[in-house]
Amino acid sequence: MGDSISVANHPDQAPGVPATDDDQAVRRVLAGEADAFAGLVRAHEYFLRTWLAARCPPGVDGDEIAHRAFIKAYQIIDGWTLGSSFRAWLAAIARNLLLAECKSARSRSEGARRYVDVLVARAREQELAAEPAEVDDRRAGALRACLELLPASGRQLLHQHYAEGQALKDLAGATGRSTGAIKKHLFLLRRKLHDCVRQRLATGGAS
Amino acid sequence: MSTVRDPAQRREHFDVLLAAWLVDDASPGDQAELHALITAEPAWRDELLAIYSQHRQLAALHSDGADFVAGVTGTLSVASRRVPGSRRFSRRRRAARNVFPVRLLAVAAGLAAALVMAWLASAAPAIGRAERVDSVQVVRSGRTRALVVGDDLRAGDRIQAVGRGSAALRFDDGTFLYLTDGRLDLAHGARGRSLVLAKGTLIADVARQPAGRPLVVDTAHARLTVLGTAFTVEDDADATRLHMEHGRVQLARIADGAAIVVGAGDQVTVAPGRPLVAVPHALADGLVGVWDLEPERLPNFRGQPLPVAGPRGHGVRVDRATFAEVVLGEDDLPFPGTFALAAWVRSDPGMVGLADFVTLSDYFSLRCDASGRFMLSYIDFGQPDPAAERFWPTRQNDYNYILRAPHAVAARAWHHVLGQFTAEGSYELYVDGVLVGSHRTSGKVRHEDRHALVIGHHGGFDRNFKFVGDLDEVRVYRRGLATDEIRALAAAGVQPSP
Repeated sequence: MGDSISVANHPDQAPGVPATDDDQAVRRVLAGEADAFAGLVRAHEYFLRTWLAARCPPGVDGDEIAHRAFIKAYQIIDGWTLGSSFRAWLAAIARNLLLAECKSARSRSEGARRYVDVLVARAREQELAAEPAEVDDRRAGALRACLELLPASGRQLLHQHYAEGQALKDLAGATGRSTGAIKKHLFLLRRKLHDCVRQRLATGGAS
Repeated sequence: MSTVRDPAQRREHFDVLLAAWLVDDASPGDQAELHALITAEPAWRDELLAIYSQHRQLAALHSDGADFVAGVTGTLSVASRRVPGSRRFSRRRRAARNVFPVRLLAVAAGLAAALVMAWLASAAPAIGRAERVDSVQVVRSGRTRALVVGDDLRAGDRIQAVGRGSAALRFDDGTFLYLTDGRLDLAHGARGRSLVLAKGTLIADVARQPAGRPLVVDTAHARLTVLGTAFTVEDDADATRLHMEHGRVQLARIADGAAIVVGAGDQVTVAPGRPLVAVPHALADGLVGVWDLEPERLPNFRGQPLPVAGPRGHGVRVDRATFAEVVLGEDDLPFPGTFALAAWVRSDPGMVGLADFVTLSDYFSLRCDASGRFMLSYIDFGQPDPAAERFWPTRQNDYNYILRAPHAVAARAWHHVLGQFTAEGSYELYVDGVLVGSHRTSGKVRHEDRHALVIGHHGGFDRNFKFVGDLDEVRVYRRGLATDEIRALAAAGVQPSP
């Protein structure tokens, strides 16, 4: 069973849709073709959600920002220049929304004295402000590749925790291990992935 | 601050704290330690940021893209009633204008809008249905219409009562909601369902939620995080009130992030200036206030109140120079009327003579001596009662009476002491839930225009009878309590380990 675990909800569309396809889709939206915008959402949701996930501070839901970014894009789609990168334009919309959320999250965390959360929110604000115009999310691709290199048991545990939303306590009960052991196992998997991603990015093997 | 010195141990400690923080299991103390470590070690800070990014990306990778697409298209189906981009025809669209004649485009866009609406509406996922409706509207994408029985509920909907209207709603997971006289926004995000209550009353019976995806209910004053339970929440401009039926809810106060877990049968009121304390339902009736004396929620003390372990969490240790005065509102204790005053107390053998540990101005005092004998001192202008003990027996026309417990109880142990004036016209003194003295009068309680709750010594002008010892959870009621209720209060304390 373990070998069948994957993150296969997303087809391998991450590298993106050629710009000409985006042009066509937007023209169709403007011309009134019903499913054209849904096609754009399908084409770019994976990129935008993983891009946002890596930049969200604690307390901010990346999917919520992505959701709002697509709605905003739909509302102002006449502002997009045909022939330019739809993905970069979408990311710019999302970045502005996320920046506002970062500030709000930082303020909430300061009020609650969640010191690390404040630090992360502040760091995210700085990163977003300094983000180059050219959108590059090789990290998500690298992470996906690294996931495939994990042992099946590790992938299964990550799947149960992240995809099925099983709590540490439930995972511990199901496997006869302690909650602490599960927490540590997850932590080791994350560290392993972290090292793998770093290595792939350094050697240009992400995409 | 971390006191771990050895580098390897420090690193291991960092890993443990980071693992806990990632799963939202780090206490404020853990967060402070982790923050200190990453401030001291910039490389660890970078590592934390990278691992946290990856942690969030893992969740995104594992979540369902089809759900997300359906969510966006569903919102568009109700959020956009106009042709996308039709509000202006910018220079950027010249290329498009060259391709599509304006008139043709407008006609095509009009048809497209209708098609988009029809197609997207069918694709939008319903999250529940309206079961019963009485004068309630649904607002979907800025359009308001009457909600009717059987209507689908969708993320993004606003359900609003007209006047005293009400609606019974049921989500697909079985969660039941009953809204009256208010407004409720429904949302469904990646982290689970969320509701925003703006005024009105919401009764909820929440089905068990998926692990890690609790139902969140926001009001102006509080955030409730619910895993599966039944409760009622009322919201108005001044406060949010939560009544728990069964289960548990984590409640966080919006103003400062302070959080408590509220259990079955408890009630909490979240309002500016009020302590954040859960009290049993029955004991919430007529409650003017609870001062739990937790370090972060102390009233304004003079002197140096030191935190001590008390039977209800933290209490404070006060000495002769330490006291607090809390001015109660004019409506809090209407006169003539009934009232009760209660506190947990542990007297100090070093105390000299008599001491008042809590007092209402200078007319009603809970008092003790160093031996552990408790008393109730009060002023009553009714017909003089020669049978009752007066505090100054030799004075003429003195209306200051005193009720003494017949025996001393163990000193240096915590005791629950309650004094009250009841609807039957009796002054009563209870120690550890047991009635130890009472005095029936004609009931002319001394009237005061301004009521001050004084903690630590006698109230009024003569600030004597200074208390030395420990105090915890002071309560004031605007009614007399029944014996069962007083027993419940006394039973709610846990003697802390020495």
